[in-house]
Amino acid sequence: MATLLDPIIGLRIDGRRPNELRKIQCEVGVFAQADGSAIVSQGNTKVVATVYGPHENRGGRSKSLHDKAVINCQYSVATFSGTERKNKPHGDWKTVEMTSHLKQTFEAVILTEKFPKSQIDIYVEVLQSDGSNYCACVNAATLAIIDAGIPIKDYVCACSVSLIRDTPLIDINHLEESSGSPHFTLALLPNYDQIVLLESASRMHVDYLDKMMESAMVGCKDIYAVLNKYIKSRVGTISKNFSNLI
Amino acid sequence: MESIISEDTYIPGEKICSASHARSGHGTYVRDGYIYASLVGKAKIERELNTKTENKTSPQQITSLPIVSVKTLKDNIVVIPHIGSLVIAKITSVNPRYAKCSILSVNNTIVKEKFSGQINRKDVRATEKDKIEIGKSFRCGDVIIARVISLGVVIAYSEAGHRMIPVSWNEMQCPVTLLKEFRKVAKVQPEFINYVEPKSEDKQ
Repeated sequence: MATLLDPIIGLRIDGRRPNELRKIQCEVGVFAQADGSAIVSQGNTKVVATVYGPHENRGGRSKSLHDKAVINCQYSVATFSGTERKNKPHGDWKTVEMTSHLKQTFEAVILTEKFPKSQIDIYVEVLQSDGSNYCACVNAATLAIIDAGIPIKDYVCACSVSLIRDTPLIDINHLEESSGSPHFTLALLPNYDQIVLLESASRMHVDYLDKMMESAMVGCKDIYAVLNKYIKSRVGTISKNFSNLI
Repeated sequence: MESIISEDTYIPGEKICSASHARSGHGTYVRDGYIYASLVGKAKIERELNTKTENKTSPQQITSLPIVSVKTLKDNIVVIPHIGSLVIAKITSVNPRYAKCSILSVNNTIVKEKFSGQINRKDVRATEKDKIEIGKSFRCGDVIIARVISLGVVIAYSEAGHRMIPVSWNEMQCPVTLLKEFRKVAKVQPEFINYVEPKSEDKQ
């Protein structure tokens, strides 16, 4: 615990400041077969997302909704991604939970009512796991959805936050995640300041919640700036609205 | 008016203009009185060319507004068959009650993945519906042109005699007694809006 945040110089174990993100690298359109795809790496966490659709419902008409599209998600973790080899890439309780979180997040943001009786598939796979897996998945899936040309209300950006020595640390790595300190994940619509997901599995004092949320939201907006810059550079022009955001 | 909206590159969630300056088209949505982009791409401002007589009943202001839409760089416009759209389809199976088909194109745009459709016996033609035989109408492999249909209630009166308001696809509510009744509510298509409106004025 003592080494996670140096008390004198105030740097984290990997040399970052408390409110500093890891380096984000993104690439969109990595698979020709999928309608949309993206690879996002945040530090040593690397995630690939693919999006198919909207297409006709698979698995019978009973699952289709007459007024909007069904969003089908799958979160899986590659067997070689972590320090210990996993037996199953998906199907255990942890990935099932992540799948339902992803589904909730993207149901809030995709304009599903434009595609009645159809289905949109979002597949994400963690290739390298070094903490904040869910955040990287949300960010990658957002880029993949944009690549697929599926209309969305806004970007979704997710950021994790932890609390060590009364200091909120954002975009936590594996060591900080497994240190036992309280941490949670927040997904934000950056243009609306709307929280679409807030997930925590640890105990923390409510007094710290506002402070942690505040820094997580700032982290989400920083991620938004990075993703936005990448997308805009792909499109080729930087509009005037973007320059006053940074 | 066009100068207010810039033909710039927009990203999802970015504000384009006020909803009082334009109407929302493809790749955009309206929220709190503003038009936002929902896709990445360049904004296009289009004026409707066909100012036909059918727009007579709607106020002149609304029809004169340009439509703002966002066009993506990729040329993959996602089309799915909607009610009222004209489709070209290939018959895949035929039986005495209905024929199944796979939809190849919607409103002159080829779909990337085929959608399946069903043609009921009574929907083959408008007259002499009892004498229709599917086997004498279609064979497997035929390419057909068809319109996606939907039926439903447009105007209904409650037990108390008041005109009901649709609350969901299968329920309508009386505005006075607040009683809900079951109905198969129609999805009103744009071309029928003007068709229904004068009727309702007559009754009130």
